[in-house]
Amino acid sequence: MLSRREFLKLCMQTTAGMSLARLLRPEILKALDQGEITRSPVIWLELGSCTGESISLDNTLDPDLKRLFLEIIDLRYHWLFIQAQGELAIKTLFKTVEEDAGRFILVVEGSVVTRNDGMYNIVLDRNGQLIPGIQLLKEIAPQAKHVVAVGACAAFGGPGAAYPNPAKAVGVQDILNLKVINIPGCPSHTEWMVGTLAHLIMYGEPELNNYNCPTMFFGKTIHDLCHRRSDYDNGKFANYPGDEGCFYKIGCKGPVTYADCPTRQWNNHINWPVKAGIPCIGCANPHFPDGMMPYFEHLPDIYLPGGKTRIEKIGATLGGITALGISSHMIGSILTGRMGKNQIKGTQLREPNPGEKAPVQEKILDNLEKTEKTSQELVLSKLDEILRYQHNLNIKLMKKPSFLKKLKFWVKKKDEK
Amino acid sequence: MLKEIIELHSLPVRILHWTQVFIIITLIICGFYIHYPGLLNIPFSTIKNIKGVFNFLLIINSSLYIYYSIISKHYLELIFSFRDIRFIPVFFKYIFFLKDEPGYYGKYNPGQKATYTFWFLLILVQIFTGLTLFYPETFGFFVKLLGGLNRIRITHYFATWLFVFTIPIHLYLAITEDPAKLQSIFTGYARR
Repeated sequence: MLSRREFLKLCMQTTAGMSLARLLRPEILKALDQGEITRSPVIWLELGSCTGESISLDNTLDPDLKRLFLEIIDLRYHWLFIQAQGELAIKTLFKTVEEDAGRFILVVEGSVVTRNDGMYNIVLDRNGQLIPGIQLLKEIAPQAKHVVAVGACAAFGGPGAAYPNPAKAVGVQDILNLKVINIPGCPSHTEWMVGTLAHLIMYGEPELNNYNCPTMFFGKTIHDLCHRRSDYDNGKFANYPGDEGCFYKIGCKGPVTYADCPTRQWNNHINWPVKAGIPCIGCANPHFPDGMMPYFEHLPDIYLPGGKTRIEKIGATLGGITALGISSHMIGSILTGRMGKNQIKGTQLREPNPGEKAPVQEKILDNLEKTEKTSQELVLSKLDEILRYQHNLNIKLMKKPSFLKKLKFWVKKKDEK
Repeated sequence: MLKEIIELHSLPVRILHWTQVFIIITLIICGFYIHYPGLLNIPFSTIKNIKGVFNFLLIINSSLYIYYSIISKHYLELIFSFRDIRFIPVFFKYIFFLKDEPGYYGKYNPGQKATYTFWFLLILVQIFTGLTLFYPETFGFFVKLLGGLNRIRITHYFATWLFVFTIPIHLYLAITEDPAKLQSIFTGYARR
């Protein structure tokens, strides 16, 4: 069998015109023949979704979908791709859950609708009883060996849970107390799905990042892999979609999105958005789409309880308040004469008024001139200083100086004379 | 009466202050260039490298500032404490022209203390968000905790605006309110 290291190498390399499934298929078949692995039963549930992941999976060319399902995995239930209809299909589903508990892989597509106990998302009819998606998921998932959430909706809520989210949709991992392997993307790339499934069958759980996405596909940002990265570094920025240069200025979400689109490319390695001339919208980002919109702005909108706003608007408001405050204060200080007084008399520090205490923190360095009036306060402070000085002297004989005092290398003690 | 020369700002405070001014102004300019690129006909990576170096200079200088403030007990004068709350009414009366005398509060008045405390916290926020943006893989845990890279970018960007808005207030009051203290941040001394 292929070693795991070779497998990962295979997954991360991309050959033009060669799909990952094609590279993996002979290895998986060999391993199956030798009995090193067994075909895992797969249940594919679709909850609140547009069937985009299934269509994206359909995009696999060599081997095609039929070979993938028949030779590599053992697909037991998928509402679109199975031959069985009606009761037979549902029977098969629950039979698999019973018989292959702890063996089957559960693939979930689409967000989990939670409003009204999920009654806005009925997935099947069992003996005349309508089963909502959330109930079915909670029933099946604990028996599964692995739970895989494919697509942005299943993984993190995605478009299904976008603002204002009337259906109160959430991702699969928010509902289940199990480890969910997330394959984000809207839709997910075929090879991200096939590669992860193959890894699960052959080696178990792949290496995951903080968002539980396989690092073999989501380990680097699009920005780092982008073929227009040199334009970014050279300062060549496009002002409109379709221009030459980096799309950073018109809101490319490549720097915040972890995916390998630039090397893998879409539609069987033909093209991908930036190559086609539009910025990345960050569909593989966990915060897609609310954290990514508007697509042609650098930073996303901010969602406040009263609606959404732009950070620039908040900034401009604060700037206006500052400018208003400074200018009104300036007018006030000119009108009251404070400005003139400060500028003319302000070259020396203010004398304390009678009744006000001079700040104790000030370090008095030198007395310039003495008038006949002796400041009682100063005499007292000098006496106090002498006392403290003697006190310190006495203390020094007995006690070692503290660590902090040793560190005071810059503190001047001119006043001690 | 006596005429006295008073040391208001010791040499390390002055050095640290002006280094911080230089670093923060460079960082603000580079940061805004990174946000609104393409104005100058120079490689973008140059700006990024300058900012990359100054990021770490800010961390070093801020650490030194904190270190010095702690060992010289300067932080007692800089950081807003509960004791300063009782001065707030007097201070606001002076600011809103209800009272002519500014009053004595120690080295800094409550408004200054609040500003410096705010900046101290803001610099900590900037250093933390900046580091998470600089090493997103290393700080992956915090990236997830804070709600993704874009949320951190917004925080970082907005905190920069807060700097940009509060620095003019500091400058305006420093220049108009007390020229003696303004002089002392250059020379260190003031007369009474």
